[in-house]
Amino acid sequence: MPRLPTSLLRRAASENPLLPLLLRQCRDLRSAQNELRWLQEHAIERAQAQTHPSEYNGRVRIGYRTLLRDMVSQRTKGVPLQYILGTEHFGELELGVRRGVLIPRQETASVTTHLAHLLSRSRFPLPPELRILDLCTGSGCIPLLFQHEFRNSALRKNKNKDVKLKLLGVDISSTAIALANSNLQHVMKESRSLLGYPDNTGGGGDEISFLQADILPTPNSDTLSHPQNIPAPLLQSLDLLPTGHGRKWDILISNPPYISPKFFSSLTTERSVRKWEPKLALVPPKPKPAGSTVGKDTDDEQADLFYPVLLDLADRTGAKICLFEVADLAQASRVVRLVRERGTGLGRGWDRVEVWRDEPGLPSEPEEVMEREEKEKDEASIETVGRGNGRAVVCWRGAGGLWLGKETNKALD
Amino acid sequence: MFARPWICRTCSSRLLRPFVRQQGRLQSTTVKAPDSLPSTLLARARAIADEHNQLTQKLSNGFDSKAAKKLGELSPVVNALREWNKANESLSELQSLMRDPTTDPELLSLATEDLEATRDSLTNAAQGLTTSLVPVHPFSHMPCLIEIRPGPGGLEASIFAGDLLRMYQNYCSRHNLRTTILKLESMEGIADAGTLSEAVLEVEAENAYGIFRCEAGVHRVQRVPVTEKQGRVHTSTASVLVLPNVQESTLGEEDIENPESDYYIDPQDVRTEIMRARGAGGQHVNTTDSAVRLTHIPTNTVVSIQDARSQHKNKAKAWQLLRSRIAQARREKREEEIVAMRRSVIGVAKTGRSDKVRTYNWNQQRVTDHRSGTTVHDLDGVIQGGQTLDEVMESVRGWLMERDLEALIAGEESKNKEKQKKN
Ligand SMILES: C[S@@+](CC[C@H](N)C(=O)[O-])C[C@H]1O[C@@H](n2cnc3c(N)ncnc32)[C@H](O)[C@@H]1O
Repeated sequence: MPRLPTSLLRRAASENPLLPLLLRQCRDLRSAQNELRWLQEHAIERAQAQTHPSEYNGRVRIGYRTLLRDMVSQRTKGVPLQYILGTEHFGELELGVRRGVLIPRQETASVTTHLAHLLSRSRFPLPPELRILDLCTGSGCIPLLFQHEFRNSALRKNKNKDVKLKLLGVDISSTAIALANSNLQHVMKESRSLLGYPDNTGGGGDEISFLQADILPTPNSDTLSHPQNIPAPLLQSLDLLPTGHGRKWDILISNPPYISPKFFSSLTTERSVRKWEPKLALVPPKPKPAGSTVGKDTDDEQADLFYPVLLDLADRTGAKICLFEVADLAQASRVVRLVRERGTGLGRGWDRVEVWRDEPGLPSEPEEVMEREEKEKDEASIETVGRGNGRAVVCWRGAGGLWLGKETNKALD
Repeated sequence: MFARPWICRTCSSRLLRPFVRQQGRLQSTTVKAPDSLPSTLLARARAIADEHNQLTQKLSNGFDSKAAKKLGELSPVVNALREWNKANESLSELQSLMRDPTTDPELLSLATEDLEATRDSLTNAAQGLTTSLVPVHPFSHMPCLIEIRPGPGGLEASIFAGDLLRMYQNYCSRHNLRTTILKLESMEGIADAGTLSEAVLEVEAENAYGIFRCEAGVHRVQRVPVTEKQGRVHTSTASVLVLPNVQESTLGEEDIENPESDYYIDPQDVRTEIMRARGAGGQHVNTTDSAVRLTHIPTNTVVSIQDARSQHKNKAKAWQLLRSRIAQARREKREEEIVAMRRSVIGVAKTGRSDKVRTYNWNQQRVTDHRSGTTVHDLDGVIQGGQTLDEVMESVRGWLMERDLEALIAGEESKNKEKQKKN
């Protein structure tokens, strides 16, 4: 970690003795000042909450300063601020976070928002019930924000208002599913008064639910003899869903673990992430030594482990749009290749594929336009949308392109 | 509380478009009427009365909600004019009675007694008529943003800027006006939290702009700074900018999406920058940086906000601030055009951002407002946002209305000249 200049530390200390401690985790004085303020507010809130008799039950009340000092010392050890405060802002939503579950990232929010907005503005009729599957849902952030943005934008633009959303989030971790459900309850309480959505009782509104299942082929299933066979757990659980149509989904979204072991242990991955966020959420398991591994980069192979499985599931569920988050442009190109390799055959192939950057809604920077034009001259051109790092691979087929406003239906014009 | 606003007829010209009249609390600040009512004002009031008549006729032929609304807006002037006519008639009646040599001596002495009272009521009526004509600032009814920045002068200026912030906060809490700090930046490395390098205070009350408009300008402090060892008096300044607060929720779609509106900003003209996570971003990094920076390219106006944890909230606040600043700049530009137009007729004092408006002198425990000429000797009361500050602000509002009145008269006169030239 880079050493901080003594003069900066001294200045910070003269303002508040806790600031130099926070500076170790923050990039500059200003963000340290912000963090200190947020922590202060939280400490005061917690100290006040203690006045509730049940909470200090004869014990001595802990002053806010003590609480604050404790929080700052956790932060100094690298504990993510969001775990200490217990919440993170995700788009317009404020969601609960918990140790053991990945903290939702800003980039995921902007990519999800962009997708929801494109769909809500579709001029081509959407299915009356739009079914969206989010695999590796973690805190449930993606389905919750998608519903919020789609609904608000549809109301604002007075378009696709009658479309009902069915969203299902799947995760292997029970901690994640518990958190996702608690976030669902929280968001429903907040938004019911605003929108009347979602109404999880099946009373006509949107529906969001969560399911615990493993999306990878189970270790003991005979994947070698049936390479196309998607292992039971997820599909079986889907079959058991009370609402039916468990295997039919229009859109498949996923932010799967995508960090390779090499990037995980290098500086690419922040220390605080490595140390405090669950590895299960970040690094895919080692692939089985199936077939020949000669000439393959096993590190990349492990990073990419989830994508072929996701594409298989897209075929099995009849999805017409896929959005997969990726680590960077390099991984994006590998996933684009995977998508293209599936050709354009019936039920399996994809009409088109493109890469969304961190901020797909903002115009590209000049150098990004150049990069794009450079790549487009290439035979295997990759189209990128927006500004920032390569963040998501998006592909579609059939009506999917019309829903996204990416293709025009000549027959309609 | 408010009568409906009306739009003066002259103001239908593009230049004067923003002068929408709003009869509000502040209108209780009566304008000192000139001794005799200027003929231009009288002509204007009569023109309004004519229009009122026409509208009344139109309404008798069938209901028209627009005309009815307009009628309601014009009637305060019509009523005031009626009062003035009445007083004027009684005065001339008395005068002709007194001039008439055949008047009975008994009657003459009665008339002489009445004369004083009738003169008074004419003066009052003239005042009422004038007040009813003065255009109220078009943004008076809006909530506002108060931006405070220290001038040159280092630490002392920044302490004074902090004093002003607390002064306005106290004023607001005393008047039950809800405030939020939109932005608060203290000077880097200064231990005392009282200093500031920039603050934006949002006052949510509906008529906050009308209340605080008089505070815009450069405030000057004269005192021995805490840091001064030799006991010398220093002079430093802080600038106060008061912007009507344009929140999308209070504006309505037309204002934001209509390119004619002051609040309209073409999204293509704004460059949005979001503080990116370090390096690769995504799952690799877990950032708490939520800063958003907007740049309005044509005017190079930059707004950056990072106070909230939510990037989305920071973005919304940044847009709000940007819209307010651009709208204010557009308005100021138009006002300058108006001032330039009138300068030939009358010297209208400009109260832009560069003029010193008030001095706070600690040694003499004195506050002087340079516009209204008001001096008070209760500095503590002012700086604590107490009753004395109300007095000072009130005096400035009166002064502002007098300027508006002058401008109105000048405008009418130059318009008449134009007319004469044409004929
Ligand atoms: C990168 S996190 C994404 C969480 C969330 N969607 C977000 O964007 O913040 C990946 C998630 O995948 C889950 N996961 C890992 N392996 C899985 C598997 N085999 N089946 C289902 N979920 C899995 C982890 O528990 C973790 O919550």
